[in-house]
Amino acid sequence: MMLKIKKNEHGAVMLEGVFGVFVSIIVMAFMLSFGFYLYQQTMVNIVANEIAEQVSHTYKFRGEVSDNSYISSDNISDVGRYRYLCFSGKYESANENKAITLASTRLSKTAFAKAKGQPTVEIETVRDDLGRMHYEVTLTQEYEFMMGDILKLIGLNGVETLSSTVYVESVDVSNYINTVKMANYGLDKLSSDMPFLDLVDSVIKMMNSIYNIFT
Amino acid sequence: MVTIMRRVKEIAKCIRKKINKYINGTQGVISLFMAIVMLPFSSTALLIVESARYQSAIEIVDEMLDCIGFSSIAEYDSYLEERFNVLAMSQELTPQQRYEGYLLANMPTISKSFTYTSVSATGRYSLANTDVLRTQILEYGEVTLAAEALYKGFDIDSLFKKLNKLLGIDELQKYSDATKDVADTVGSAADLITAVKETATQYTSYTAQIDEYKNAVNDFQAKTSTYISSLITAKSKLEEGDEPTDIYDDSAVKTALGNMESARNTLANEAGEMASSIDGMKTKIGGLFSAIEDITGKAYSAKNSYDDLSEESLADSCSTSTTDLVLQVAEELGDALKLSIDQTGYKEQMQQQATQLRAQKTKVSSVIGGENPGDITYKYYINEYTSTTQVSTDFPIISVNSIKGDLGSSLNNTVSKLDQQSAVGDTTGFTKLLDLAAELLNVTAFYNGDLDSNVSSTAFHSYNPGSMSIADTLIIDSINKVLTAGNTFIDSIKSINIFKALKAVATLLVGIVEFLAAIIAWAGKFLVNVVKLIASGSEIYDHFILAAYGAYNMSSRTNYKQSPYIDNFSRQGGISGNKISGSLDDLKTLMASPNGTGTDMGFKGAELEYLLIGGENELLNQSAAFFNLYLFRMLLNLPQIFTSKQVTTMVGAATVAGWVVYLALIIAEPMIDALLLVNGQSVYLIKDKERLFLTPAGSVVLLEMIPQMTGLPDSAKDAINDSLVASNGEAKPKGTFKMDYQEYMMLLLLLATDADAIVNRSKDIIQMEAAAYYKDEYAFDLDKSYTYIDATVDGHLNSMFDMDALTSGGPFTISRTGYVGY
Repeated sequence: MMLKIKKNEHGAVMLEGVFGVFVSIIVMAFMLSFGFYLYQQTMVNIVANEIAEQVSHTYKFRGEVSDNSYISSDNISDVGRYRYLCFSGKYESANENKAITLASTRLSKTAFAKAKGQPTVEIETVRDDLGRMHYEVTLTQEYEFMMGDILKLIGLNGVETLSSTVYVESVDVSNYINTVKMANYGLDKLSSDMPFLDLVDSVIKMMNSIYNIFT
Repeated sequence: MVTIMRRVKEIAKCIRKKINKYINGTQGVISLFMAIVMLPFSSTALLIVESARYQSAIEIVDEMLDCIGFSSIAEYDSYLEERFNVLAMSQELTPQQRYEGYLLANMPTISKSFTYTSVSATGRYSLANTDVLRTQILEYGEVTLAAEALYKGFDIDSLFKKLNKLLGIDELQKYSDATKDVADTVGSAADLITAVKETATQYTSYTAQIDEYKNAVNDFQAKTSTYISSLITAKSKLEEGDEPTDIYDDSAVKTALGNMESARNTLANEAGEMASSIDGMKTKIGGLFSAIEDITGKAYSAKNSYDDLSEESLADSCSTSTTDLVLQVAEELGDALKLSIDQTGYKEQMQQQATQLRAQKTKVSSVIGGENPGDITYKYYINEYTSTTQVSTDFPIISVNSIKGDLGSSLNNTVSKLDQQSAVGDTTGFTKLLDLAAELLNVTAFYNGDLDSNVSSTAFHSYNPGSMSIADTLIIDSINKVLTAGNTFIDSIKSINIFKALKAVATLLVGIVEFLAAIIAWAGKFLVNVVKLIASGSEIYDHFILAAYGAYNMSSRTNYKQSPYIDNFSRQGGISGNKISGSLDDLKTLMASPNGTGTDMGFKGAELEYLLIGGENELLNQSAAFFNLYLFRMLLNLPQIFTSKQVTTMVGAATVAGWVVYLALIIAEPMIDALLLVNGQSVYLIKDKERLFLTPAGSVVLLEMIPQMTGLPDSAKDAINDSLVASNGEAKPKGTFKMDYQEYMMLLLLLATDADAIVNRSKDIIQMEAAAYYKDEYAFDLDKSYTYIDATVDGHLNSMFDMDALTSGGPFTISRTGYVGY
């Protein structure tokens, strides 16, 4: 009887199907969860980029300007002065607050995971050269993923903190131009007050000319 | 029914046949199963991929539009940037043309992902927008202009604190009030002198009246005695049978009676007149004593009113010399009065004399003679007198001897003595100083005649002539008044007439008070920003940057030749009508001329002056700016002049004429400052009070500067030279904040001009200069000098599988709007 049963292949496909489907579901669940994870990571990165761009555009506006879709005359007249000097800290925190508002809206529309708490944004102004600078924008948000426990298989957790740091060049044109002008002004004053600087300048130009002859 | 069943069976058989033919048992079932299972998975995966592509496309489009936006605004107007340090898009192409051009050039880079369906680009926020221009100026100036100010040595806070301290209107008001007290006292002293003269005149008539009275009494006594004698004689001639009344028919009696009655009437009249004269004299003397007492009190009060001011100040010195004179006048007159009058008992004595005289008048009026009229109860019937001696007993000369000596001569002698004492022998110095002040007020250096544009209203961006009325800033009338009063005063002290001198000094002081009041009003109106600085630092700091922008970026009468931009102008005509000669009166006339008659398309160089004044006439702008500068310097000099020991020393010998020196310095010193400034030299904002130009120590510096004052006529230079009392040796100028014309204009812009006015007038200058610069290329319009570009691009994602019916205009559309600007 048992032999008969063993030799009977009826239901084998079903049985195999059960295992197959089970494994497939596990794999797909993993892929789904991991996909959501990757997607959310990408979205955090994208939103961080968007925030960085808007920070770049609106850094100098003190009012409620979170993006550059509309800038009013009042916003322009409220542009703050000494934003990269004595009041830089104040501007960074003001822009962080604007960025958080933007990030909350943006991330909530494109989430494949459950956000836990508010996102955090850190903005740091990094000086590159005379009048040139870039902003380092770090967006961080904690997410709880669907079927997140399965992510433990690859060392991730069901609740993950996603973070993205992006860099964007400052497009504060007037600040750049005025800083360069200030530098020119300072150099003019220095050279007029210190005649030996003219001599140094002449020597450098002469050496440069000689160098150009032989190259 | 049977037919239907048969038909169903046939169809089922056919299906079975086909299944048996194409499906071999369970073969292929897994593929089928997989296909069914994979379809939603793959669809979901594709949807996610498309979504990611969409997000990516948005990112790319955003990036691209940013690039396009920045590329568009990168084509800025280089002239505006270089000349005015402001950024705006070039007007060679419209924002739409420029933006669309860049979009087309960039599309190939993302055309696989995105296709645009429409694009619109609009320029926003031109420099004609006051807020925008102000922001640009402030952004430019926040570092560079602040650095320039620091380079020049301005500590802004310190500067304003010093100004606030120096220009304390309250302190100035104290000087004004104290001067008014002195003016009141001197005015009363002049009235006292008038009263003295009237008293002397009264005394003359009083003494004449005494003589007349005495003569009248004597005459009455004599005529009455004669009458009585004639009666006695006539009575002795009566014969038997004659009636006693027949004596009245005697011709001698008749004559004597007539004479007696005439003398009686005269005496009655003279006694009354004498009583009135005594009353008048008493009143005059009482008035004099009271006036002397009152003026003495006022003089001491006026002296004390300077106690709050700094000791040894010029004003204190002047007031002291003046009040000392008043006290001397009062004392001398008091002494003169006391020599003749017993101050303690004269009133009672004179009252008693007047009473007796009036009683005598009544009594004399009652004297009758002739035939007994009957009722004589209240009459003195002189026929009853039996001797002539009774007449002198009943009608004596009433003694009028309260005033000893010759009061009139005493008073007149006192006034003559005061004249001699108050006279100033050599008034040449004062005259020269006043002449200098008058000469300087009429120099032609108020403007540079080469800069004579009368700008057409079409050349302005926001034509608004007369936005700043300067008429009420002119204090010409009060200046002229004090100059006239000064000259009158000098004439008076020359002519040795203390009454005239006191009247003149009173007029002079009243003039000075009015002048100070006008200065206070000017300062109060235009220096409110100094107070604002203390109240709110940030606004005034912005205002300072705007003022500095004007001062350091706009050409002025002192530096227009160095400006490379002024040659851009192509002007038509010049100022219409006659040019003004330069006097203050002519300036007033010019100010009254109508606006809107100009034809020039720009100023020839006095742009900074336009920022300050805002008129279309370049000469008027220069002149009014000069006058504001002059008043500003005057205000800054006042406290120094008031407290300078050098000046105090200068007026030490002048006694009462100290006010003239003081006045001349107030008027002439700032005029010299202003003339030096418009000739390109620097003057300390806050001068060392011991280095004022018209003092011995400061004059050495001025003498070196005079030859460089090119706008000054030789007569004015000579007047300065003549009035200087130079000390030996070198004297270096001292003070705080050495500033040139531009920097003074900056302060005036800050203190006297509204911040919006500076921005609006800057727009006019930009419009004029840029229009001239681009006139061969296009018509520059400040309204089109955009600082932002507002672009909207609509399009859609190019789907992975191009199924137009499903995706075109479907869920993957992209519409991006963004502002990009400087």
